[in-house]
Amino acid sequence: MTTHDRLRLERLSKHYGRHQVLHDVSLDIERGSFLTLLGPSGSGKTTLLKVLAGFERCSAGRLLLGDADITSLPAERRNFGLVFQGYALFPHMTVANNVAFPLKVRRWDRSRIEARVREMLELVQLGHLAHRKPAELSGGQQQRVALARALAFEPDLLLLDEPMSALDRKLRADLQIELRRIHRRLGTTFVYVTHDQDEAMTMSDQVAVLDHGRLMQVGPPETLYERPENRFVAEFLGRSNFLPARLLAAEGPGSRIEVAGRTCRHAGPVPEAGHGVSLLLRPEDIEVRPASPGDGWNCLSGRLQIRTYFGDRALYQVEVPGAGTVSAYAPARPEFRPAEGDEVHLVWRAEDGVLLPAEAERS
Amino acid sequence: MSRVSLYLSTLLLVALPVAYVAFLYLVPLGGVALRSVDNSTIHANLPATASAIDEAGAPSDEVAAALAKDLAAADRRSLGELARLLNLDAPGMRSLLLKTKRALDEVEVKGLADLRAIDPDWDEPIYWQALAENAQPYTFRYYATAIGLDRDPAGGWQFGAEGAIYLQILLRTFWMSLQVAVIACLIAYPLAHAIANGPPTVRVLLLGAVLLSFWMSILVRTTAWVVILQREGLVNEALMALGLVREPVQLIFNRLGTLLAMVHVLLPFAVLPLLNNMKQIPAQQRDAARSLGAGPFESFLRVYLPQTMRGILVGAGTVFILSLGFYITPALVGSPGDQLLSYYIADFMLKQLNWGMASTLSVILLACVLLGLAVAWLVNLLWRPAARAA
Repeated sequence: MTTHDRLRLERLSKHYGRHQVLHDVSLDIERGSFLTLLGPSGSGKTTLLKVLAGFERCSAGRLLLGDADITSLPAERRNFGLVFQGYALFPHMTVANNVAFPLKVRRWDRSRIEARVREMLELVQLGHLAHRKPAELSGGQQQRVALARALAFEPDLLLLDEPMSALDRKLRADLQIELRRIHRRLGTTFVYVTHDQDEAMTMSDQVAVLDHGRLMQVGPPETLYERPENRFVAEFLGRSNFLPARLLAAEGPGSRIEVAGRTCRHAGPVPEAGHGVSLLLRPEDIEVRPASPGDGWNCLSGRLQIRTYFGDRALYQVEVPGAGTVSAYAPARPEFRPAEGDEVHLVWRAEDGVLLPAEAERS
Repeated sequence: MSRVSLYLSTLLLVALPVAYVAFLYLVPLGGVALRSVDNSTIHANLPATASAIDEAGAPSDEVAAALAKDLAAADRRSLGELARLLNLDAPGMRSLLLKTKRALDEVEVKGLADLRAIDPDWDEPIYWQALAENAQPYTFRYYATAIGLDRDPAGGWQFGAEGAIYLQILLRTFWMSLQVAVIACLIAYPLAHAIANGPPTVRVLLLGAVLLSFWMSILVRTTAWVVILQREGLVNEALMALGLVREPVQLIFNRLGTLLAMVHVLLPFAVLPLLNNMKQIPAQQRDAARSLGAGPFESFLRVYLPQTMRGILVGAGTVFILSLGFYITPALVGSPGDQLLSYYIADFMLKQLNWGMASTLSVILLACVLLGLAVAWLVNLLWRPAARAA
């Protein structure tokens, strides 16, 4: 991995008039990585993509590719591939001519273009459709042509703007696998924009979560899921319970905390916030038991409100006095099958909880 | 709903439009086409002569007697029309016929000699040829005239001394229509692009301006050009005030003024198909071309322009075909040398009362338009794959 090919976003900001859509976004994208920009609509991820592609100038900050400052380089000279949500294939050209377009623009030799087009269409498994027009292809095929076209000129970076949002679920799954295969084979840096957390989790090496134009956290999917740094990331990725907690004392490697009136043990890092904290518990980390296991265990008791059966597992929603509704997953065939309204006990291991600074509720 | 009742209800819905088109369009059109070859005046008024005379028009006693019988039976009005028409083919025949008709009151004509006694001009073969020529109920005389053919003294066809004047006019009509179509497209393209891709306020304003002129009468718009372009008009006064010219420039009643006014009148017909076409091209296409490395010029040439080809062809074709039949605008702002074929059609109809000639020129123009449409249809057919993709 050479440092001069790293794309560095340095305190990027963008505003339209008085409306700021990007706030000081700093991020290093290593060469060859698969990074996903994840965020809900309005989080600024599309604007960030446009800034990276060169369609929009950022209002402040710099964009560095290796040592070169490309902040003001126009899109057509950045050598970045782009795959659009709506494919954006040229309808008047055949599939082969679409893929050849960036090469013709770069004045490649005829024979070299032909070879490259064939190679790219083989890569996306569409060699047999080279002479069709885009309108004669299915959505999934069109998106694969767009991918071949955007990769044909060996771009330094491939930007993918929600490329699968127009496809149905089955095609999505196929194309996800295909994208990962192509990424592994070519080693091109991929920057993937999506609002779909599952896509982000399953495909990327790195995920950058954006909210309201701010970068909330960057890291591998596991880190983001298991050790979120803030409530937004925790809530955006997967299902989560937030229990109001109070830090009692730090003892040795762990700490004692109070959750809903009970004293519990906690083994992870502790936020600096002197006042309130929240305990994040993922539903799959909570075990539902008929009786309290006794002292030394983290345990809360409550009443089962709703049990939702999924086949492979069941979701229990338990009303815990002083902590609200807590969700927990139970295995599909548990020994203990409480009925709705029964009293149950929720147990978790000290190292599975994550303590986050308590935030004011978002409006 | 069953198939039968679906057909029935469809038939019911189109009954009125079909009847309208049939009676007010196709029937008159057929009438025009018939009139362009019609020769029935002579055939109807000289029935005995028409059946007696041979193809070469050799005079004989039998024909002479038949002619005398027909002339005696003819009333004044139809004889006048007959004489006028025959006079077109054989100058002098009008007075000859009228004189013979008057003489028939006193003389009984049994043979050729009796006719010669009334007027020795009946010796001339040209008059008999004229009769033989018009014995048939139809004639291609008008078409011959239209393509510049003329009678030679021996009764055959030759190219007239003044040349194929109507073919030249037809050619001029085509040439000017082509110029109008090209200029209109050149102006319409950036305009349509601005409307299709510009900011909303610009879009509304420009589209409003285009449609406004679309809704105004052609006559009003043409007259406005006269006001603007005349010697004491707005443009000339501005040019003189700026000191660019000393004398007023002739801007109107010439080719320039005609083209200018025609382009303006027909501009919406070029803008609307182009606009329709351009609106279907997503803005993403431009971004895609740029991300693939194409600069603005190359992305326009390779990506945008080819996708608007259909709009250009439809717009230019519409303007061209409408120009072919233009009448009012050239008549008001053009010089005699800028008149299109329709002007001569109107002239034959209204001034020279030669409906045969007017019909013939109309049929020729219609044939040209249909030919143009056939070409457009073919182009459309060949362009279909691209169109479907768009």
